[in-house]
Amino acid sequence: MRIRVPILFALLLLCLGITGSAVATDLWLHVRVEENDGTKVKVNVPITMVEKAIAMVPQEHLRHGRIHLDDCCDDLTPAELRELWQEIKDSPDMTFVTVEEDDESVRVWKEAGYLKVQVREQGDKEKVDVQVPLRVVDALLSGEEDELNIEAAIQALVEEGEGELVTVTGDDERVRVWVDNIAEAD
Amino acid sequence: MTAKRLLIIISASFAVVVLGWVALIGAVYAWGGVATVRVHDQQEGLNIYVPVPMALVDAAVATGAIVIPEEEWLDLDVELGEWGPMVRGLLKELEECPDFTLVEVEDDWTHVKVYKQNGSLKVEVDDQDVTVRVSVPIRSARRTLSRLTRFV
Repeated sequence: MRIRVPILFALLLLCLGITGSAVATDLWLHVRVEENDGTKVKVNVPITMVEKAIAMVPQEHLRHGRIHLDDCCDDLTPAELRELWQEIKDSPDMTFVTVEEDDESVRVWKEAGYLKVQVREQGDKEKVDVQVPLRVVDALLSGEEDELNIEAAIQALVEEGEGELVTVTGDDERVRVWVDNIAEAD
Repeated sequence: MTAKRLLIIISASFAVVVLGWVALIGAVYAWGGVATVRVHDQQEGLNIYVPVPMALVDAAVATGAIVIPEEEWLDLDVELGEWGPMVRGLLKELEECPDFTLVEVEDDWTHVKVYKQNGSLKVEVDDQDVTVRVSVPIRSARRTLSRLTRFV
């Protein structure tokens, strides 16, 4: 499973986007990428810096910490997305999506305040695990009409505190994104 | 005037000049620190070390505001003006952070590290043949950028 640079970048942006604010003084966002050829990438960002960056991004790029949904989603209208989210939020902990194929399985479920996504390819050789606190998604969708409220999502994530966000284990690379209170954690 | 007296006057003048330079250099360092760039290319046998007192950079910006035509500043405004406040804000945050490594990338041939240490933002690049070290005092960089964006 080859993690392409744009995907990683988008992943990082997403995490930068959903990470940061009010009590963020001691929290750090970490990204680690390790490839089998020996390449290692480490990124450590204080969340206060993320907050600052998002608050100060010029308005034509990010208006008051919000972006338009139509900039990022082709398949769902904002209203449909909110409706879908409302149903997920109101439901008890359960599995929403299960896809089983010969060499791939996907599962999306809700558990203990988190929305979790698990992808397994070729047995357990390639794994993707994503977990996002529900309140973060909730805050993200709290913008008006077609807006995603990045600032609110950041605040929600900061209130959540430390935790794993993304883990990808592939044939030839491993990616980990998490939040904690250590400047250079590993 | 005796030779002894002449010698004393010359020595005193020399001491004043030396002390003056020492004081000036000290003031320059104290005012904003020094940004440094060091490049070492083993293959080419190149060795470059450029220390840039940030006070001089400030002076250059101030002089530029007088000397450079307004249209040039406006061009800079287009390129920098929009992102200037953000970069300034980020530098301020960076200034307040403890020492840490912001980014580190390494493979078999190259090692790149961007980190904060003792109030400076440092960049290290170690390639097979080339070594680059850059150090910029964060506070001074922020001040210079503030002046730059204030002019534009």
